[in-house]
Amino acid sequence: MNANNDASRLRRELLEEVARTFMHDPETGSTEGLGEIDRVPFKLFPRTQKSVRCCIYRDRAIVRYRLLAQLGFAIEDEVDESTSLLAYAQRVKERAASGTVSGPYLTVIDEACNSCLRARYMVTNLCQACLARPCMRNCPKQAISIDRKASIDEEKCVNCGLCMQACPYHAIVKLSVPCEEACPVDAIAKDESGKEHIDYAKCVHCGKCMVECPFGAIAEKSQMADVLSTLAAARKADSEGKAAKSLVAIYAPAVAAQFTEGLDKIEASLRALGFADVYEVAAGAEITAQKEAEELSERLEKGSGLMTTSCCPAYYETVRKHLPDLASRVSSTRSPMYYTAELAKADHPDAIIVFIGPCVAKKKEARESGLVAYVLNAEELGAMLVAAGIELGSIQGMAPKALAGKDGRGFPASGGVAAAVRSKLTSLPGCEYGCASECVNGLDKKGIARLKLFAAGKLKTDLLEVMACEGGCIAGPAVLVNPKRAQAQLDTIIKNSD
Amino acid sequence: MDKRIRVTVCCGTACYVLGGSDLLDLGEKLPADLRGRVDIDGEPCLGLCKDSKAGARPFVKIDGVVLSGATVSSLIDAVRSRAEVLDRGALA
Repeated sequence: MNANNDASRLRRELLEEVARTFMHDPETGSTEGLGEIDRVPFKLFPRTQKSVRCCIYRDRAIVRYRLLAQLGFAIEDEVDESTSLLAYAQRVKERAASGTVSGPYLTVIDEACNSCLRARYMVTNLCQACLARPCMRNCPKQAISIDRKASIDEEKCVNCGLCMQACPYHAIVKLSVPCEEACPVDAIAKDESGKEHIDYAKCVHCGKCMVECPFGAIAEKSQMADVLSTLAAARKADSEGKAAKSLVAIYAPAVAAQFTEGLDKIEASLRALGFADVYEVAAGAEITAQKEAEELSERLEKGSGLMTTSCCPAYYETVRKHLPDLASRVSSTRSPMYYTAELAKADHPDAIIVFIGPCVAKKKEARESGLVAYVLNAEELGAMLVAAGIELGSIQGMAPKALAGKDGRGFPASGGVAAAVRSKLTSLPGCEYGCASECVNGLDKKGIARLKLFAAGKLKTDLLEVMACEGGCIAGPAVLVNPKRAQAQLDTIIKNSD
Repeated sequence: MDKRIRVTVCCGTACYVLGGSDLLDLGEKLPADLRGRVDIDGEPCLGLCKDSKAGARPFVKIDGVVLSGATVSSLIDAVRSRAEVLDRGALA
């Protein structure tokens, strides 16, 4: 779905409310301001407004659950329905003080789940029970019988769709379950009541179900409130002259590509939010590309065949959980986020590192890295800027550190990582030779099938770039603008690089 | 000749974050009969978000008239209405 629709707009409005609540929390430590969170469902759905669902009360109940996810709680973990949002917000403050976040990183808002009809082919009453009967004749499983109207025997049907293609009256339709269709690893399925559940043993946190659900029933467990609490605590300690850990933001080039204003203004706005220092993740991308080129040249010399990129955490997780045959093919080089966090830690050893990206799966990678404490997405950053009243257009820009160039900044578009590795490879000493490269642009079911062919050696190349999101990170699950615009804005950023 | 229509999209951070970015790309989405007679500009925050009576974000102006809670489709409708008003004026 387009990055901008009514579901994403509601999500961003709610994030803005959460951000505002936590920013207005008086620095005295009083929780008076936090209580505002319980008013949000009423503010967004007042009694005088037309309801989206059956009634305004249901809309409010669902908003309450959306807020729960945005406060960083899994809906599945709710024990007491009557707990106020204020009580949850207070728990956020305790959680932030101890600095703990945990997976899983996606949660299903069962109250919002539409319990879509099970995915299958269905004959509608447009069926004319014609003489030619192309549906019956084309069915490879003899699953169709006609008695005044065609009907499909679900026991025999294999969902090939040939009947639908054959019907001249377009009387056969495909019923889809968007989240199930989007999931590349069959990790989401219905329970007896028809509600969707995520099997976290299979889930790779690609976020495709969240993007595709038309009811917005799948949500990220946000870490934004934790970050805002930590920023407020740091500010309070600073004003009292006490020592406190500062926060450092590292932002992905895909996030920079969400805005029209360019890097200088983004860096200044992050400082204005209270981050003590700011790094481009494109800096770490330069290191990733360099190390990956060195690793590739070693592999090429040894003739050990295919190497895949490793920077996409949803891809890496897919290999771990579903494609173990590819494990030895994945580059052992760490991701741009990791190397950027190392750069930041070298300058600020005690700082709390916050990664800002377009990605859900980075939350898992961050936790496993031991370097990055929190992950924010582009929507959360947008909500924080709006809540803080920071105007990107009018803020005085601050030049980024001179650590990144065209290669690193080009990482987030499909083909960008392979291009960067190839560019570094040709400049390695004694390594004038190039290499062959291919891209798996998007981990859908087709992408997975192609990966299996590479794993089996039926497809060959030297360097295989894999990105879980079609188009690359700029088309990630938690972005603000459509990929075409993001690409154009990224091109401008790259063009303005030295 | 057809009178031109000026569309001013608010590029303030709030409008942009709440979907205004799509409105900037209106040019690609306009139906053929309206394409070529609409000038689309982004402007820094128009200040409408600070006015509680102005309605929902994102904001856009069509020949100076404010459209609130704008989506690509509501904006196209508003541009079409404006075109019809201008065309009637030209006939009279």
